[in-house]
Amino acid sequence: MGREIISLQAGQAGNQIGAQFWQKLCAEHGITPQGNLEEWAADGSQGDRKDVFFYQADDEHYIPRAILIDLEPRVINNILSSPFKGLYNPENIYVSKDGGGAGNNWAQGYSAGERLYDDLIEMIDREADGSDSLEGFMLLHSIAGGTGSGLGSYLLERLSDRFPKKLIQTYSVFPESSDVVVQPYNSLLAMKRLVNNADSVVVLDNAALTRIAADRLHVQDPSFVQTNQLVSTVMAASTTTLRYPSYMNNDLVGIISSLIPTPRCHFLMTSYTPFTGDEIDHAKSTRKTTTLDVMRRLLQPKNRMVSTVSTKSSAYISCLNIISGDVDPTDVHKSLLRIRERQLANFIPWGPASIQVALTRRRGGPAGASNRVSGVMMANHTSINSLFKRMIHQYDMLRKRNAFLEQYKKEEIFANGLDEFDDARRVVAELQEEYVAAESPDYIDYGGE
Amino acid sequence: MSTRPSSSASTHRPRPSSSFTRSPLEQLVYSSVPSLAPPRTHRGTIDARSGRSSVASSRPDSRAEVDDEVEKERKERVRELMEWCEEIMESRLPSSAPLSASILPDTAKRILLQSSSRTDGRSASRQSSRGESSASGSERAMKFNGIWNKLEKGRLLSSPLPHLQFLLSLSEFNPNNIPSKPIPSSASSVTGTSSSRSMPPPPQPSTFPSTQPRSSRQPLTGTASANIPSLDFDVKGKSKADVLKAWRTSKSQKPFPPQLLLRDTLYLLQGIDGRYVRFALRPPREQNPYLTEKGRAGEGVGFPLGKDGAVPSLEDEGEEGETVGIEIVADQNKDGYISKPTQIILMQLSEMGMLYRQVTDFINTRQAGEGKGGMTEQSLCHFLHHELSEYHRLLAVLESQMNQSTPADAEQPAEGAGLTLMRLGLWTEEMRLKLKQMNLVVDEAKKVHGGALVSKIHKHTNHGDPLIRRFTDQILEEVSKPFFATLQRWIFSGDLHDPFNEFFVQLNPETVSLRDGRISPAGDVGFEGGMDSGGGTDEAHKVWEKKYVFVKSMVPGFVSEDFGKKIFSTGRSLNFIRYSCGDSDWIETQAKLANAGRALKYSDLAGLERSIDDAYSIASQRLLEIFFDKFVLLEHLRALKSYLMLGAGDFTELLMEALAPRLSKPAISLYRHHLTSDLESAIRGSNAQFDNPDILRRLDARILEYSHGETGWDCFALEYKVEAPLNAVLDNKAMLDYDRLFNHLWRLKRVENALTSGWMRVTSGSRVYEKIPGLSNDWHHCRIVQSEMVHFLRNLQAFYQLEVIECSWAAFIDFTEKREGDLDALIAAHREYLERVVRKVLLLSSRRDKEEVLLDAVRDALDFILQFRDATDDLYAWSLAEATRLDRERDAERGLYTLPTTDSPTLSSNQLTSIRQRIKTCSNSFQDRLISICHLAGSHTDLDVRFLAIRIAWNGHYSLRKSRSGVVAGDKASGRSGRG
Repeated sequence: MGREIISLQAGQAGNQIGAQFWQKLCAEHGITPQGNLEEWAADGSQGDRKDVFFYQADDEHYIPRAILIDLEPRVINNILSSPFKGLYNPENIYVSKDGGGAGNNWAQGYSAGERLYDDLIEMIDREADGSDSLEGFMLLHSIAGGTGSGLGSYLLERLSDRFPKKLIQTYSVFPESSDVVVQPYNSLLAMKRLVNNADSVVVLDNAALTRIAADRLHVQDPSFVQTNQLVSTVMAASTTTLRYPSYMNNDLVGIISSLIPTPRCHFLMTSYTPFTGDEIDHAKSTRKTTTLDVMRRLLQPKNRMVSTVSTKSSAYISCLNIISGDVDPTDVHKSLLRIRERQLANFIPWGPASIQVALTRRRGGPAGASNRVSGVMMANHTSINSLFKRMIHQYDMLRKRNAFLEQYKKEEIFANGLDEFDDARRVVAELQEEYVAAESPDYIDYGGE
Repeated sequence: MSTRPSSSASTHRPRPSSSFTRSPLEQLVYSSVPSLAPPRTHRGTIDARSGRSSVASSRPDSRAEVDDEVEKERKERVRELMEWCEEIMESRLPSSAPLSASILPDTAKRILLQSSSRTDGRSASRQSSRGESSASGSERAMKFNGIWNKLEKGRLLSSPLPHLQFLLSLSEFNPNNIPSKPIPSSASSVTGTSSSRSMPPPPQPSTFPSTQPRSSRQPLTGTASANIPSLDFDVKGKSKADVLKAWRTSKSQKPFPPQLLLRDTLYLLQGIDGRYVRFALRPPREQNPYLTEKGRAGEGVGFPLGKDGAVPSLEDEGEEGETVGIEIVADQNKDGYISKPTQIILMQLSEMGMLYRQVTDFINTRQAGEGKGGMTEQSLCHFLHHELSEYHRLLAVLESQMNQSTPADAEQPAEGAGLTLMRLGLWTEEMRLKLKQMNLVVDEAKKVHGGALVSKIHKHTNHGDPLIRRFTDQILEEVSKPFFATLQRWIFSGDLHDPFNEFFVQLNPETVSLRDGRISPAGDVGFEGGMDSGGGTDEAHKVWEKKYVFVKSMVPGFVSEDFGKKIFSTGRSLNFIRYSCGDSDWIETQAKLANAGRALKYSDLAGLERSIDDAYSIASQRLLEIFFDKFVLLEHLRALKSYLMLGAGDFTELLMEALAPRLSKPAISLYRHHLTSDLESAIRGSNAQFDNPDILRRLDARILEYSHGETGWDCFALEYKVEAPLNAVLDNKAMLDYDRLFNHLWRLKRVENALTSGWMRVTSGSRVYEKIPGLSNDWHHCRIVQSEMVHFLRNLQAFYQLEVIECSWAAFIDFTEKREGDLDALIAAHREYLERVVRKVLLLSSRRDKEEVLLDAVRDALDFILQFRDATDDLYAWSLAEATRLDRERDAERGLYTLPTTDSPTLSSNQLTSIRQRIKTCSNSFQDRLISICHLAGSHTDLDVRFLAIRIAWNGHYSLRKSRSGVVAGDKASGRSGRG
């Protein structure tokens, strides 16, 4: 079989999200925490493709194609004491022996990656060899801290070197301003790798996640579990078409190629609706939703999992709605017409763009499982440049004072100066400019010499 | 005279004639008929009154001389008139008791007034033609008033009541008859004017109690008789006939002995020529057209079959030698004369003989094996036989009657016994009607047979005459027996037992070889047929569709066409279950039907409908069940949707991946075993492995016929094999449609694959060559165009998947979940589903000549995408080469050893120029094509296809309308070329 995707989860956030993600995938595919198939899933009639994210061990157990990496043992220990401890391949779990973590320092994480290169690449190679036709990698991390950001950056560089023909997609949690003092440094440095070494980045903004959690759950200070559930829900939803193949959107490249026209503009934002108790603990129950409701809500900025500042000229470069549940295919048609009528979405002026809709119908599922209509949107929207702008701004504020640079200078990469910072800033600034440029019709000739 | 004097009325009434004197009556006569008055008294009014009576001309109207003789004659007449008046008063007068003298005059006046308005209109023409003054009612009422006044003033009447009654009865007379009455001596005028309304009373009403029904049925027996003067028996024996008789007697012509005639008539009734009277055959028309004319005129020969003796249709169509009437061959001079009325009666009676002859002829010819034969006819013959034996019995009775009457006096048969021609006519009346009806049916049976005959007979059940209606019902009951027997077998066992093709379901003569579902080794073995198609794959469909045909003209009248269709379908379903679906199903079905079966017959039409409805629903349901449950039709359709319409994405991708390297080679290098092994591995690798093995077994890879230079892509086809009875639904045409769909979707998939791999190079792989100077613009341009292509392709695919395939499928599933209707409905639903998909996937226009314009444009666009892909691949290769060259240069600069460069920078820049040119051409061509696709789709007849245009041009990048977009396209093209 083919089109496998190897997940790499780095750092605290990455592993937490990953744990939720695998839990969700197991539930959807009918895989028990021990890796066995549930009774209802055993007959192979669901038309799903478990092999994209799982492989089967010799004893027929399903094992996630996941590599868990952290420099401190706490989160991974949690996972290993959870009911799902038997799910993962223990060989794929790397916890730093010293357990000191990266100290929220990108450079430390990056250096740790260099140190651990042999161990890590051995795991990755083994996984890659275990797949028939590897489609790509999925990195789950946060770019604020040390491990996810620094080690993740290192991984991205190595992966794109080592597997130039494989896709690299990341689910990157962008920090809230208050998380870590040095997060502007960490983010910017990680962003450079996200721009240069990843093919597609799903941006998940912690601020937006908190806001959505607050809106949806009426919790002023949502727990990490809850925000991570939001993320894992989006991840699961955006990979449904890969796991439940139908006429189209069966591979990652298919989805990404329609969303990303030019190589640098590959930062996707997502929306998901409706969040209910099925996905999130303590979520409000939602009344029955229609396809039109779902598609309309997906376009609302407040449901986006990125806090961006839209201007009048902000536009969708591309947009893909993946709708699942009991959807009448004719409703999609009507909804699209309605959305177009009301001009609910703005599109770029330099090329054709539209809302694409993919339907997935999960068949089977445990008895009594609701098959409510839900949808996830993956969109390439120019307003994301505001995020980068903010990032640069925060970096500039910090850098002006040359604050907290000592810890960075300790590491090898900054031994010869802080050029790396400048380079990263340049890359991010270029990206931000390109996104702004994509709002104008002249983008056709962008970057001309 | 027109009023019928009823003897009973006159018996219990005191005779008034003795109670009044002559003179007042005479006065009355004079005043009512002034012309008869003695000259002195009527002198003043003669002018006005002359001409009112028909006898006025006969009396001398000269006032000058009063001749004795004339006076005598006048008196004679007056006397006669008075006698007649007395007679009237004796015969019939309204009972006088309640009417007092004072009321009577008013009553008389009123009657006069009323009668005028009634009779005037009717008799106006006759009156005027006779030159009579038409006196209106009021005039006459006035006259009556004058008479009355005279009578009253002169106190002429001692007892006015009887006179008044007389006057009253006078006033009730039809004025037209009045003038003729006073002249009883002139007998000619009586019979001359008598019409059917003023039929004379029969001489002995009591002896002919059944006369009434006869006369009441008069119009049915033949309207011609109305014009033929009927035999007249005058009360007084003074009829014309009597006169004629008397004249004949005087001429010593004796009447023909009636018993001889009777005997002949009985022969005639049996269709045998009598001795004196025999059937006349139609002479050859050319030889003697005169006779035909004569027959038409109704002068003694020719049956009164039409109005006024005119029977053009029969005569024109009649064959030579056909019985057209009778001729009397008796020597009338020797044996005695046969009066005309008698001839007419003979003729009327002999009609039965002719009918009998025709019916018997029919039976004989049918039994002799002529004609088409058939069960319906046989049962008709049976029924006719039965009826004819009834007829024979009747004749026997009649004959015995005649034998009784023979010894009696020939002139005056004993009353109440024996047989006369009249009685013969009367007693055979009913049989005559039946024979007529039988003859009608026989005529029809000559033209049509089977169900059509039943249908024809059924039409007669609407006849107004209850006797005929009942009789027709009897015929139908009998005749429809074989029909119902066939029907029963058909709807309860799906068996067509119809040796004479009488049923409205018939075996299709074209496909007799398919009988009983036997599969004949049809030569329908296509390319590589021996290996992949078992031959005769279309059989079940043909069996279902063509084995039986519905013959509308044979549907009996009491079965509506819809109902007939239901019957047709029921039997067809059963037959199909029986012969095409295996024995076990048949047994199950039969068990179910056993409860529904009951005897069918004509008299229980409601029960028939119920039974058929039951059988229909059971049979159709059962057949659908068999298709859905036993033959898992839906699974097959789902498989077709998954594999041939590429719904199973994982399977498709694996297949594409495995086949791509092979299919890129020339078609000639393709081997089927490679393809099948690739197919096999695609199945094993994907979720298809969990599918029903029976379904997977049917999947096959095929190489279509190819021409020189084609690659494997052009001639690869995935095939799904179906056999009987599945191919009743999935017939050859349907499979052809699936092939077309696969072809197009597969092409699309291939282009999609090319595009995504292109994207991997152009967009994702950009890091490799990003550093090469001077190319970033080219690449950016490529990516923009590529994104346009991706957008187009994905929208097209999404449209196919959502709007077309899924929507159509959902509609089809809706139908199948209901499981309504019969197999026809299922076939139709599937056909509709498939047609809808084909039409929309292939973007077919409803306009014949431009059906594939849009499809061609799309194919062109796809081709340009592939060309574009090749060009960008070249650019990529060039970039890599250039990067290597630059690296070497750099290395050389740094003093490292490098391999000597083979290509010079100028050469490579030439290459770059040509690559750029190609990319530009492809891009422009694609964009032009896309614009025209948007136009075509935007103005497409299919709304869904229009929606595709809306999808592609969602953000207004393309215009849907031609006028504006032409400019835009031009701008774009020029802009692009300027930048390129």
